[in-house]
Amino acid sequence: MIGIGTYPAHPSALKNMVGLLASRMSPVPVSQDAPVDRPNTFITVDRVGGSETAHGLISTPLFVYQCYALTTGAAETLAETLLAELKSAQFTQYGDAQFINFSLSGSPQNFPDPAISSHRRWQMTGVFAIN
Amino acid sequence: MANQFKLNLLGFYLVRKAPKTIQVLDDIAKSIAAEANTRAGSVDGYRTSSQQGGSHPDGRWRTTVITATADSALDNSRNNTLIRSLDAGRQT
Repeated sequence: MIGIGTYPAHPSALKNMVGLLASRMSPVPVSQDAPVDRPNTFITVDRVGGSETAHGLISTPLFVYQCYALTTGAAETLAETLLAELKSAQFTQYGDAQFINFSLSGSPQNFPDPAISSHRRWQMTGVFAIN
Repeated sequence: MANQFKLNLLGFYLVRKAPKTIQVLDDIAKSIAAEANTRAGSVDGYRTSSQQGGSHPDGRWRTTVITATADSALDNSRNNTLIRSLDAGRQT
């Protein structure tokens, strides 16, 4: 008989994503929320939906990545560096998550943050399959 | 001799502007806009538009969800409301 009786919970996608990027982007801080004492450059990540594969074993969350820096050029460069790290992190393990393939949904673009006028914000979105 | 066929490009164009095609796309856009308005607590700050692209030769039908007011634009900048509302348009 073919069947799956119980499904294991997906690993925490956001927690593992923040940890993964913090390790790969050091010394640039990576967190879910913007730091209260804002360094010159920092990255925020949030999980904003997504789905899972039809069989339900692989989670496909959509992430939004926001790169902050003091100038537009620096923020854009930070975003491109982050994008390269995301692609390089495919098929790697971090924490209790297996990061599978990354698919860019929205490439880096200028997206000013009215709450943080001292910094420029560049944003991109992508799906990272995880199980 | 190999069979030959010729694509009916006008036929593709007409399918892309068929009422059922437009209805599906409009429903997706309206679902996303409704979710965005709910999240933002607005009535129609997020609105949709629907039109066919140029026939070069594709003429794809295109629906969009936009921030139609200054308040909704500010809301989207602060909260990423449009991106967070995308799942509302997901087809199961």
